Amino acid sequence: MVDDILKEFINESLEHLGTIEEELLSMEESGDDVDEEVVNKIFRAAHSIKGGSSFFGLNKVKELAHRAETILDMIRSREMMPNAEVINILLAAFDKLREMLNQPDASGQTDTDDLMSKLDAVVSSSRSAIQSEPEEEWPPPPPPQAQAAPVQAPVQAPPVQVTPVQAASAKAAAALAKVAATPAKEPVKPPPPSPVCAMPTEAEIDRARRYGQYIYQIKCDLVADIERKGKTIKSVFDDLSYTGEVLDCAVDTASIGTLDDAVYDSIPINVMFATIQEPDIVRVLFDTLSADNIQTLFDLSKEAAPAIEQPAPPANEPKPPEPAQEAQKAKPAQEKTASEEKASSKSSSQTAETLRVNVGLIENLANLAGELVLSRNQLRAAVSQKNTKLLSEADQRINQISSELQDVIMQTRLQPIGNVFSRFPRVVRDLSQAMGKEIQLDILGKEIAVDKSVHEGLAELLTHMVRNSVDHGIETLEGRRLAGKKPSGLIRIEARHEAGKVVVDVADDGKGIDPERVSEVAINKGLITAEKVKKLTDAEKQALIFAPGLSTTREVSDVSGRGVGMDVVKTNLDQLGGQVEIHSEVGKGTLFRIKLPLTLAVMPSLIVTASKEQFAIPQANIEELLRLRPEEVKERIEVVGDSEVLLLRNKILPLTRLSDILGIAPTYTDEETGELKEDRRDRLHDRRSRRSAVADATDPKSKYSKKETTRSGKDRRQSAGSAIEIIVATTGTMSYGLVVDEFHDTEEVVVKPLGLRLRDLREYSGSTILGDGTVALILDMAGLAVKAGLSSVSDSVRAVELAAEVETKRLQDSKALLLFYNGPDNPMAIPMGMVQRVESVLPGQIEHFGARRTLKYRNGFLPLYTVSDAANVQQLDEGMSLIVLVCNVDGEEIGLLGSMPVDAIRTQADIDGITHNQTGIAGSLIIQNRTTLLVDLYDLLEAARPGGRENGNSAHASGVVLLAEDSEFFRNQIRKFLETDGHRVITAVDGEEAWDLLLKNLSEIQVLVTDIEMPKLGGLGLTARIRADERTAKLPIVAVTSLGTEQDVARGLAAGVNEYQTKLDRGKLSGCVRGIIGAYT
Amino acid sequence: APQIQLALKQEMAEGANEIVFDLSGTESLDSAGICLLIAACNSMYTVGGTVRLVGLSNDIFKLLKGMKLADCLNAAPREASNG
Repeated sequence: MVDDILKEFINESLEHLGTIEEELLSMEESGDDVDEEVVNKIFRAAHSIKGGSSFFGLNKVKELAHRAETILDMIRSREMMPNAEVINILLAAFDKLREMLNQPDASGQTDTDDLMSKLDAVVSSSRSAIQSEPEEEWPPPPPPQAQAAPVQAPVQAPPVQVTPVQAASAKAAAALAKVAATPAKEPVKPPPPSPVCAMPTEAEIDRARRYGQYIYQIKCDLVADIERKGKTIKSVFDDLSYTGEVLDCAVDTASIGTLDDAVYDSIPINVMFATIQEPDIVRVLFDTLSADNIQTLFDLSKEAAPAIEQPAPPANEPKPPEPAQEAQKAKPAQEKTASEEKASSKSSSQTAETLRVNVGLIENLANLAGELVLSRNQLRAAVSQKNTKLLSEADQRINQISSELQDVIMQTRLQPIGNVFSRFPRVVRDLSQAMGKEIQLDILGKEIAVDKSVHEGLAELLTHMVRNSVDHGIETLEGRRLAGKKPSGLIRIEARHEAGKVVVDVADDGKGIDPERVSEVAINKGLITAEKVKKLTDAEKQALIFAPGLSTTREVSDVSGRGVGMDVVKTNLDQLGGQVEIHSEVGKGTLFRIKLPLTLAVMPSLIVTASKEQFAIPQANIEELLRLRPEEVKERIEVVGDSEVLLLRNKILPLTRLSDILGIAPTYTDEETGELKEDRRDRLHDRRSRRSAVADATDPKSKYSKKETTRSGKDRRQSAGSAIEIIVATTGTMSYGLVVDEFHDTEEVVVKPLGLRLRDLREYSGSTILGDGTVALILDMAGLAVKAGLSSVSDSVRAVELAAEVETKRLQDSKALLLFYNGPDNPMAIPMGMVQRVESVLPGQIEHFGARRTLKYRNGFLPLYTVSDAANVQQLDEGMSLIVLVCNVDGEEIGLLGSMPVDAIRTQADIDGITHNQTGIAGSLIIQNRTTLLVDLYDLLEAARPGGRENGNSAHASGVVLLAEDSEFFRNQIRKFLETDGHRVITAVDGEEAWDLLLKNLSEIQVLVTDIEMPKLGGLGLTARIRADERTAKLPIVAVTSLGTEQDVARGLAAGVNEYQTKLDRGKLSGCVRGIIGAYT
Repeated sequence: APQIQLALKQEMAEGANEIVFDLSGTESLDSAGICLLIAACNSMYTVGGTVRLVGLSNDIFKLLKGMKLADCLNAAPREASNG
């Protein structure tokens, strides 16, 4: 508690201190004319630090703040002039305060005596000065930041300045003296512009220091050194302004002479130039100049050395600074730099908004930025000259610099993990005391640096884990005694780098996780069924603790037994792209091992495509990449229930297609044309058009048997390009296979957060811009698994089951259709269930008898019809390659003529029953962006056949049928068939409604026709309920469904279905219903 | 440049005490140009006259600014030039 308040106080104080330096400096600048608001602000800061520190017993901080406050008060009341000396001491005082606040515990040991006495001295001297001669006491204000300061500037340097600056200035002065001498030889009368650059002013040097700049003096002749060497004056000045800042420039106009004597062959110039570029780079930049032309006036790296060893002032220095004065100034300055260094190297700030970065890194960054500018110049030159060699050089250079830049910037984001760990001693101590346990906490690897983004997420989840270890892991004293362990339990938190990842272990030597106990709880809470648990390994059972809502403590404790603990860990980890492993042995202890990416801002990612769209998958989530050769597909991919699974060594992983999860139409590239076509395979192991399906398509029940006829290509999975690309992805707690169209390169993608509108999409974690400029979404593998309905608890069982559910759901809403053409622009569809075979015919084989067409077919005649016989559509062009769809209508075979190409698809497209409704057409739907008419074969035949079909509604018994079907299309179709047969049909949209209607119309209903897959209550559930209730137990049930595999049928019959039929086999359904009702009457 | 130099010298000889260079048609300045301007400036200085540059293109103005010559040549950029 106190900790928190202290932390808050410190953060607040540090915030105050953050701006104080600037304010003090502005106060100094304003001198006499002090801005009262500024003084007040600093005063208040000092005051609040004093107050807070006295509350927390930070006496040294309090004393120091108090003295600073006294001085500020004097400035405020104008008893003291804020001259450089005063400000200097104040700055030192605030630096010290900052240092102490950063380490409040050590503040007591900090040496502040010297500083305090100085502060006291300032106060007392000022007071005495006021009484005697104030003017003498007050040093003159610092010179303005003039550009044309005289050569003597260093002498007048305000005492704020650190000595090295003066050293640099002295050097500069020496250098300039030479320059000054040159024009002096010329006895021409002095022209107005100064031939000599001004010295770098104190402000300029100070700024150079802050920005890590060098200050150079460049002396050259614009004619001899620049123009005659092929450069233009403009380009030189452009270079100067691109790479740095021209502080001053002096053209030796005197040497040019007047109009009377000018020969125009020399423009001596002297430029003072501040830049972050190092000397060797500057020399490259001005490559036409010799080394003598460029002098370094100020070099930060060499600044430290001359601080103590003051070089002898140059001979022509008019007024060398007094040594005494010098020493006096140097001291606080040194102190200041030292404390600055301490402050910057200490990155313990807890606030999230601010980031402490080592100065060296920033300098490095500044250098790189400069190099980048140079490379840009190079690039620009290369582009304008259309010089490809130069271009590729520039490319290389930019490539190198940007990766270095990225590296360094990443480093600035790194924070020691110790900041997160620091809270745990307290957490463990408090918790163990409260719970009567004795726990020793070992923390290792505090110095390991992790990215700021990871840092934030890590704190919460580690807290959960540590609490969990204290609460659930370590036994009570009694428990440990009984187990023969030493009374004090041990929790070890260790961080380390491992293969580009941060690994954090949270280990305890407690009782371990009892797999039986966890699974028992999971079963009791309904998280998993007992049967499934039997198939789990111990490790998988232990992993159940990550299931939401599971807590194994017998009673809810106020510590961590709220049943929310460990799934929070998993959720947080998923967000961080991390993984967790459990190693636990009953009675010995538990080790949680977390693996985290070093950073989240730039992620090495694999670029993949699904249906032409590019996605990035973080490499941290990729376990392996698989490429299944066509011949392997059948062995490696199996269908379990209704979902596909991947057999990977000894594991079974759920398998899902990326395009399915994201709802993009799957595509493949046609080998022959290179076109991108829609992939209509329902299954990856589905071999379409393996050979001409015409002869093959005999089994009307199999949903794979009736594929298109003579697709020209081979089975595309047989060709090299048709291998299946699978990413074995991991979310940390589970793995699954993700099928994509293509793997591309690995790229380091820069993660950009998703926009507001997309932020809720769990399947994406961000977006990025790829090298070619296109935008790619970054997939969140955990989110994708959730979207696909894959469970993360036990991949081999639960996930398969969930995948099955998803797949079933997909099937349930989809319709199997056979596509063919009537005219070339007239795509048609017919429900797959209607078609028995597809045959190709030649026009010559068709015999015409008046308006009737027949085909000799299997020792008989097959009556042929076309859609245009009944519907007002394009006439079938008999010149096209014709096909006959052999259909069974009420037990009679008929042929529907159409033309190629033929294809079988499964679609979820909505059927529009209104727009294109006409005789022979049930409706329309959009397939592959084309309006496709759905043929109503019964209607068509009725209209096309003079006299129509016999439908015998009078000849057969009619009754009342309860029809349960969720798809509106099929419901209407079946109802139409049944009503045509003379039955009365009561319809229900799901099992529950059917059950209600059944009970209401118990006496009337003679048969139930039901779909299997329905919302709320499915067909099998409905059947079970009907069979279980004695009122309805004897009701005949006909299942009509698209789930046509043998297992499906067996399951249906086992549930108590009397008849199991594939959808829309009207003849069979009619016959069956008739038979049942006939038996009634 | 030599021709201009000659012309300028004549003007000066005739007692002109202000030279106005209209550089509105000039897009770049080489060393000869710069020398001429400076020489003109120096010459005028000896007689107590002034030099003015008007109609400077951005590039030239920037260059002269960078060389810290803009002030002594009384250089004015194109937009701000008033004659």
